[in-house]
Amino acid sequence: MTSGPYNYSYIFKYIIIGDMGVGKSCLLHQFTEKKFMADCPHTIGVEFGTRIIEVAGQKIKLQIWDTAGQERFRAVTRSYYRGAAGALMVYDITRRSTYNHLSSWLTDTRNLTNPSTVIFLIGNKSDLDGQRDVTYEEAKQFADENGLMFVEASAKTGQNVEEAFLETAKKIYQSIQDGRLDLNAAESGVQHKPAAPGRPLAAPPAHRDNCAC
Amino acid sequence: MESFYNNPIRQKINKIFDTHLITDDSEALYTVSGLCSANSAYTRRILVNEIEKRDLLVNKAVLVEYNKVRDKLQSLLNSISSLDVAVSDMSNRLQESKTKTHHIITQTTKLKEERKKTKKKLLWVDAFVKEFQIAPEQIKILYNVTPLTLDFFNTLSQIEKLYENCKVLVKYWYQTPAFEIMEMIGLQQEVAIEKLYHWTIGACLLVDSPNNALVPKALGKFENRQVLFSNIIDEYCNARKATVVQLFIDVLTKGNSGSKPIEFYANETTRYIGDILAWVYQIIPVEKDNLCTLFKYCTMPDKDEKITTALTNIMEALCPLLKVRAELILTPDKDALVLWSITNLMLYYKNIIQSIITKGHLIDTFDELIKKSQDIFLVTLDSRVQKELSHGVKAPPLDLNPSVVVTDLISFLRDLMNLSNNVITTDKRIIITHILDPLLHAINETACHLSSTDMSVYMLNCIYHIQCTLSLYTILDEYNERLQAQSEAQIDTLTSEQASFLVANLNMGPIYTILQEKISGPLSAIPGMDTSTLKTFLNKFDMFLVTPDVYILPQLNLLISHNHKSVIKKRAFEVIFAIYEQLYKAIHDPVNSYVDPQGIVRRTPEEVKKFLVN
Repeated sequence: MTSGPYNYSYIFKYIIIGDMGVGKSCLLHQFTEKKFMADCPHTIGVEFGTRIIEVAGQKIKLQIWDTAGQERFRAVTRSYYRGAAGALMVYDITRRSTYNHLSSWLTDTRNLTNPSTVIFLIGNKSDLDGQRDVTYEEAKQFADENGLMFVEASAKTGQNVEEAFLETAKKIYQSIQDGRLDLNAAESGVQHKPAAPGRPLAAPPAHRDNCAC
Repeated sequence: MESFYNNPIRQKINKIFDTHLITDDSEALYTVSGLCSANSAYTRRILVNEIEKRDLLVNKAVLVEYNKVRDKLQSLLNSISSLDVAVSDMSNRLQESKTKTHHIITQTTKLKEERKKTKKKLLWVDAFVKEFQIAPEQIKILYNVTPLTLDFFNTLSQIEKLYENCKVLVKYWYQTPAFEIMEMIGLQQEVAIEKLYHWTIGACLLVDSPNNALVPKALGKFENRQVLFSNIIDEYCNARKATVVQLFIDVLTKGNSGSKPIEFYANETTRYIGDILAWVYQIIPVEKDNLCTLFKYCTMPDKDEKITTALTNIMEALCPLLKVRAELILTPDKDALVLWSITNLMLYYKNIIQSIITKGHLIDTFDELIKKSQDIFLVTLDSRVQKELSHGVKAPPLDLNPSVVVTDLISFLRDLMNLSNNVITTDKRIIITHILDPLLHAINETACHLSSTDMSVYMLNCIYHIQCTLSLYTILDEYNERLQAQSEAQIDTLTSEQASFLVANLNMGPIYTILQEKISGPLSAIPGMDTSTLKTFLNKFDMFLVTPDVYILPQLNLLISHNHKSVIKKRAFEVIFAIYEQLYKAIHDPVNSYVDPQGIVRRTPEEVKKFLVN
């Protein structure tokens, strides 16, 4: 069975969070369109993007929710953490304030998502190295202390953008393989599309007690 | 020597030897030597005789043997001659077959020629068949849709191509075969399409239909069959509706180790509604994405419209669930701020959803819920404002600052304004008619129990407090202007109060009255305007110039706005200055016959102005 009649085997839900103007929408645009959007307007509420990628020979559809960074939308955007399998937390390496807010973003993410949600820290605008305000080492240490994956990227040049999205997917996929992520859970942010017979990866059906309140 | 050679024995022996029959000479010689034991004439004769006899015997034996040889030779000869007969027979036959072979060769060549031609014909026929007929194995593929494979679509596409080919055929020469072929192909196509239709309907009903790469391909085949096409879309929508509803119920009621179900937070009203609306909103692009994939192979001009219609259709399924839950939440016992934020959330989501789905049941539901939520908000708001203001008619605090009711309501107003993402005209109307107007009304009622000065100060303070908040929101600029006008009126009142207070305290009253009246005769003759009275007055006035704040109304110090206070002070001083200027002119006027006017008013109006109006 090659690709079979199915377009993809899994759907992963991502959210992109971070302060206003750190380049969340540009990262998404760079990832889905492979283009840099120069005059990106402020996001109102949330925006949506998809792309199908391949991890370990499996096609995976990424559903990416790009949230507004403005504080006034915080109440609205909080609802979008629900069910995210991956969270891309973005700051701007040329503005320290965006880095300083990371802990508050991280708290929100930890409170509103699964323990198994993969959190990936992205230091955006790495092309503006001359205006750097946060060193790589400092951010790397922060990431290590909090168990985050970390990379510096540039939505403008596209450097490391692809990697950030793919590495996150690989980590999630690994969690599925290790059985840490329950595919049948509606909230895990991963939907497993029924595969053709004989396909590996048939996850064992989880026994979920329906203690719906 | 000669005799030696002529010896008859020798001759005999030689003869024997010469016959070459005896090969082993030695034995012969040995035998011969044994024959004669004594060399005598007799012996010799016997020997000769003997030898001759033996020679004869030998010759006889040789003869017998030779006869045998001859016989053998004779039989050989016979064989050879029979061989000759056989060979010549063969040669004849060969000749015969050679002729025959030649004939065969000619025939073969002819056949070969024919075969070539036939092959060519076969090629043509094959090509024709290929262009105008599908192979039996393809037919098998066409009639067998379980499981459906890409081959099916290839075959179907081929049939379509054949049909086109036939049309070309008709256009040129071969009408009869073309029509026959078309009829046959048409039948095959119909069967295949029917099978595909049933397959597609079945595939649409499966939960994972959006992920099935063959469904879009199948749909593309029905593009020109509108009824079937819309049937498939309807079936797809119905299946998705069921799926979406199931997902919605799952997310509401089931959770996993990480995040709890949405309904778990039902008591946190705003979060609950926010999560529900966010989920509903999030499903839209996903479903739209699915529909775009489904329509991937369709090229109809109204494709986008069809996608939107289908999307609207799918989303309708969520309306009852959404409505029931929202209506449970929208009860008047909720806090007005909560209801307001729910209204705003719904407005926000309605607006962003409307940019994708312009109309339909979902938007209607939103409108309905927004209406309901607004109504209930207004009920709660009114009751809250009413409750607050019922205490407000009591006396204001002694410091004439805005009463707690006013500050409370205004901070409530600020909360309201901060909750809305973008205040729209309706909000403005609500804020004015349901909060600000009743509040001002209440303030007026409270103020009317006070003295004129106290009232003005209290009003100014209240208005100032309201204005400070309203100025943050440009949408309320118009109302702010109205408040500004009201505060101007109060400032005027206070100015005149302050001026009167100054006039009274400086004993300027009589002087002012006399100056206003047009009296004939010199002013110095009038009591109260005589030099000594004026001197007393001006001394006092001098004191006032040094410490102008002594005669400020005590209530002015209760004004919150420093600006208000200084404006009132400045305007009141201007009034005083105007009177002084008039007095100065009058004293210096010779008509009024004051002696030594310089001595009476030492300060020029300019000096006074410097003191009073900096």
